Amino acid sequence: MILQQGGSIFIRYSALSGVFALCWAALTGGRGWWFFLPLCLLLLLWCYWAKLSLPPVRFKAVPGFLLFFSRQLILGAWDVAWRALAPSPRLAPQWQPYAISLAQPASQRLLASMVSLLPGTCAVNIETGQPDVLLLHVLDGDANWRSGVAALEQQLTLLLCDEPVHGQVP
Amino acid sequence: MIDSTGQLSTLSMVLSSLLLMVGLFFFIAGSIGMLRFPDSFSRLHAVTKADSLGLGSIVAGLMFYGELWQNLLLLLIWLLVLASGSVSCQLLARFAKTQQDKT
Repeated sequence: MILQQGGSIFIRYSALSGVFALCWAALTGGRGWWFFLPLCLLLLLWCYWAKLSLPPVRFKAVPGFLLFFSRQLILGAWDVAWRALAPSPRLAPQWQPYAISLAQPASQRLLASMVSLLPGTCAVNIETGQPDVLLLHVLDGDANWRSGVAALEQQLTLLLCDEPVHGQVP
Repeated sequence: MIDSTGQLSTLSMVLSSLLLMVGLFFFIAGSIGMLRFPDSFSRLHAVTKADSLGLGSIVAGLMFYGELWQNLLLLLIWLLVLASGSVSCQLLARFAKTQQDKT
């Protein structure tokens, strides 16, 4: 069991260092590896210390998630552009709490980061409690922002293996 | 997309120009939002969402001119900007909220 866990952690961090190396190679044209190696080691140590790693995903859910996220990204940008360019901008900024149903802290952080690209919402903080609450700044409190956040949460539940789907144990 | 003489086809040029114009539109809209929106939090909405899509559109428009490797690099840069934009928006909003609560 312990060996299996150790193997899983090794695979996750190897994948993470692979991603770092690919990004470095692409952005620097394959130069400066002597600088990258200690930097990568420091990053991996930090990820291990902060319990950060690439979350395992259900690959079947990836296309649906990408389609959903692309659509929301376009709607979000269009919404804000329309408000910015309208002769009299329709704004009713408010603070709104949103009860998170995602169980894992890493999934909640991912939700908080992605929600800022959705139409009319910007995440500020996650307040731990029962349930955990995401504090959001919304551009228009009267708009139906809640359904967008709930849909993103559902997509993340389908995407991330650590999240139980319909009462399944992860 | 680029023919044997090194020129873009008319359709590619039109699509590329269209995407570049759309990108420019979102950048301008985001900048106007920065000036017109009433508070720091609302301005964060403008700069994060409009600029993310604006850059994506400009990257898509530039992809007509590049080779596969360069296009993958552009895509990677856009994804990194998208990720850093959404995370920094959240961190800035958290900082601004903390400052607001103090006063």
